[in-house]
Amino acid sequence: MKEIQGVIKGSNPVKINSDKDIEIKIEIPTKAYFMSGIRDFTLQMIKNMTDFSENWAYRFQSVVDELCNNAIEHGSDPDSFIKIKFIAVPDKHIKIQVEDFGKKENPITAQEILEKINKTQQTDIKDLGLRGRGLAFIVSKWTDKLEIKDTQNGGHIVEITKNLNDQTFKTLERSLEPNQIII
Amino acid sequence: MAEIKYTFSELLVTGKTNPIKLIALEGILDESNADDFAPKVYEVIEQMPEQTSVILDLEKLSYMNSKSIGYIADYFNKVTAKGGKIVIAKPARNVKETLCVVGLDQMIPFTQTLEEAKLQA
Repeated sequence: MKEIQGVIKGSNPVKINSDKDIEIKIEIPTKAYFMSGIRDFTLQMIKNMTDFSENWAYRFQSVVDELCNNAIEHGSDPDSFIKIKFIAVPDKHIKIQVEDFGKKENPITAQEILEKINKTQQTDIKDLGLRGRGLAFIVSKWTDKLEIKDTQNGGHIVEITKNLNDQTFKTLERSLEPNQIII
Repeated sequence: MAEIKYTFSELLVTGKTNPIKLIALEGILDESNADDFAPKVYEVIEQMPEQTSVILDLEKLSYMNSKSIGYIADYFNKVTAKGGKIVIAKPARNVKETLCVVGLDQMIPFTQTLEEAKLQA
């Protein structure tokens, strides 16, 4: 029998250049185990649904990972869950919201989180401890806007915005020598 | 599920008098495994003689989160306190970007090859 080969692709991804907003919601238990799946999803979503370069897809992967890890570790009790919402507005921006439901012990307010971020950003890099680099650097530097709000149930919503008309998307294939990151 | 494979070995470099420890990583370092991996490196650092330098070979590391980077900064403090140096060799592009955005390049030199890393260690 003659060998037959073929490739069948699934339906085309939805590009964020249609005229409708796209919203994707995910809930995950507060276990770090689930984050590899969220990272994979983010990477593929950004690669398939936007015209961002691969570098930006990886950056978003880190941003979402850090937002979720922060929500799980600092904003959640064990055996709770977090909500992740991706919102794409054509020709404008991508927003990512991560909502946690608070900690019964040692709860932290949005204002305190913002103060911690600010303090970390002001600290000499050599004097930073183990934690704090996620929101203060990875999230803050790779997004255009970072907002943190308290919710009525004692949790927080952390929302980042990345503008789609950012000119840096076109310059990202340049050298990545240390100190030459283009943000 | 995130998995990290690690190899700890000694490097013999002609012309170098100080010992060099090579730590090669393969896989992913994230929130689910960073705390389990770090003590293994701390043990190596604790047991190595004064003046020992450490090369972190990150060529096969495909992802690293901020907590893992925090641990590297802490390894740096511990190794330099013993008179050694830390060099990061061959990081993948996305890993290098993450290391740079948190400012680790201001503390630790990065090299494109293992040979360069040996010279700097």
